[in-house]
Amino acid sequence: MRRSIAAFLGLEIYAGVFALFQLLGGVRTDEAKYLLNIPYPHPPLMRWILSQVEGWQSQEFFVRFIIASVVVQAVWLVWRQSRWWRHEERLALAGCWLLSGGVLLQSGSIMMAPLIALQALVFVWVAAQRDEDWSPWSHFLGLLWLASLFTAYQAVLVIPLVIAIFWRMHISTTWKLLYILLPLFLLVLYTLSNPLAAASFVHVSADNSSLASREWVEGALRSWLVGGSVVLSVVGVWGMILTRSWSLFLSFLLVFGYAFISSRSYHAILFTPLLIGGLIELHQRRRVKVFPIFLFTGASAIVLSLNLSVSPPSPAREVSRVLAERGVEGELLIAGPFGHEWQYESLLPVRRYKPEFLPGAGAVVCIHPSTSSGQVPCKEIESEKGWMKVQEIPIVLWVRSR
Amino acid sequence: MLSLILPTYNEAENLSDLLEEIDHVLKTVPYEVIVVDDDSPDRTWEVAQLLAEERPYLRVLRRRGRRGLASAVVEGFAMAGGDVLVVMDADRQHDSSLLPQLYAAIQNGADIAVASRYTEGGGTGVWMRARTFESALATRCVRFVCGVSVRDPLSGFFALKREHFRRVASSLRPRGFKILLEVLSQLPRGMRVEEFPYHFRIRTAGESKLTMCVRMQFLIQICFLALRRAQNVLGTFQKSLFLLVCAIVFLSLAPPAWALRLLYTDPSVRDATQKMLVTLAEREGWLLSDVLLQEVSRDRIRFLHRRHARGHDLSHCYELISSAMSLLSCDEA
Repeated sequence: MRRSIAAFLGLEIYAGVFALFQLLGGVRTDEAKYLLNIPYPHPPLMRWILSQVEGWQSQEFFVRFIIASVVVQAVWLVWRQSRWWRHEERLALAGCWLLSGGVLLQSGSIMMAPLIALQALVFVWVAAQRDEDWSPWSHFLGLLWLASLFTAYQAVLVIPLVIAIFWRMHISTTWKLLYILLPLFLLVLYTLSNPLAAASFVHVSADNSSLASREWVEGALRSWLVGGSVVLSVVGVWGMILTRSWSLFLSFLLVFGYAFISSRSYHAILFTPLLIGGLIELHQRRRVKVFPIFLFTGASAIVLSLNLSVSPPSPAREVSRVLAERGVEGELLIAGPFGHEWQYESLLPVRRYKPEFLPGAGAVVCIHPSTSSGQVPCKEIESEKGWMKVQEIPIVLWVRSR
Repeated sequence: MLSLILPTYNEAENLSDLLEEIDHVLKTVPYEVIVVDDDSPDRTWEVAQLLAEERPYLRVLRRRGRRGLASAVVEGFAMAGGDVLVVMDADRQHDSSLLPQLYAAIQNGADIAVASRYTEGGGTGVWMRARTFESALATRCVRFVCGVSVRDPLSGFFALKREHFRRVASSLRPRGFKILLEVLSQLPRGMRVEEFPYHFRIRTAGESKLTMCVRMQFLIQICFLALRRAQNVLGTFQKSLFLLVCAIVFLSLAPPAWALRLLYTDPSVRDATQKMLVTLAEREGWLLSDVLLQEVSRDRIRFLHRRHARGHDLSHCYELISSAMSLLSCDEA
């Protein structure tokens, strides 16, 4: 027990490091969507929960730490899956989870992908227990499937695992279909009730269509390799194919396809639970040694970590600090493209800049001009009386003089 | 035949005397003894193997990489060849003279026979008050939470029919050290249980295994058993719970989806709505993500505008009439 408590605390410290690391980059536009419960792109369950603490001063760190903790502590589920293994093999498997690129890069980020990865890990675990009769837990698994779908659309990617789980249960076919399909139907209904969600997918697809094919392929491959710190990525897939774990492999193909079309680096963690599942199957059926895989995964993880960089934080926080110090009131007008992190950081209501809004504004931020229009943003304000430019920050900020 | 399982951990000093006691007590009963040792540092397994050379009825299982009294008992039961399975501690705190009575009870039709500290005539011996209180409290909690009627469900000294073990073996989750509790919670109600009083004896050699870790494992075991009992009690309500949640979700999503149906069924309405929203957002300086459509008809749309600011997150309901592009508050409309 003492060792377990020490391990738990050690993992919490590990999670804290991730949370602090992500904190350096500040709140990003995608993260702000979940912290503020902005109704796209994902369904409402998790973002509603996160937004309940939006009034807290330290909401950002609190949420980062919670997400990092659950991702890191999910290693106990991995540990449980290997309970009949030798001790050093168990430790190696746990190390593969903790040092996978997905966990390294995404723990502590306020995104839905790590949460979906956790739910996927539960499904991987349940699917692996082939001799267990999960029928008494059918309702719980059905609710978990519903909750997953209402956390993020990405949960659909593990539908092969979900089908395998329910199909094996000793329940009627009607109930199997209900458990699998009813949550999907409700997700479709949600999408119909929120056209913004569907529109956001169309918008992202339009954005991505400008990428070259080579970039699409590279993006998907990168996500896959990062997800398992390269070595686990290859071994995990090899394990799925060699042991004919088709539900795992089909889920992997779906995730790969998704990474292909979405081209976002934060999807790497979606691969991680599937790769762990593949490695477990490989060891259990083919007695492959896990420890060397862990060593190579660890080495890749070190290389990955050395190449980690934090994107500079948005100037939104700095601007908010300056405005708070000066006691600025009114609206914050922003000229140019901006992300939701401005809504998150700003104490003033945010609005797009238009000269006619100046009378009600207390501050104006002029973001880098669009090269297509060639116009200098906020040109009008230079000739307006009662405005002064703030010099101390690396962004163009005008505040109303007192 | 009686199969006696002795789970051991660092009981090398006690084993020889215990086996002599058992030999004496079970003179008239056909029996085998299986020592299941968790790779004791004091090499209890080696002592048992030496003793087995003189005792053909004695078998030894040395477990490496696995620990836990309950799991040791399960493995011992699985190895056993007798039709009556008995388990007792190897520290000589259990009164081995009860073995023939437990065996006879099973032979006479009882499903489980338990040596009980809490039935009339039984006792916890000379435990310290704190431990006596702790044991009694734990027993009461278990009886309440897990719904077992046996007075001493935490007894480590009991016998059961082999066929009952076979029935529940695959569903046993042997955590911690209270295997009787696990077995009782898995067997169907209506099993005939007989309890026999005994007094818990003082340990003569070795160390107690009752540590804080073991206490925590016990608490975890109780939680799991309570959960399982709740599952059984809820029964068909569980499926109803799933349907109930789905129904609530459906009832909350269906009306707004219905109110927006023209967006999906009529491309002209969809295009017009999109144009209206984009024009409005540009005019008002709003972000489109701050606009939540609630209802779409051919001549107007209704929506909520929410600023998505931290803490003070006001939302207003508006109606936009397409012909005039005039914005009205929902109250005015």
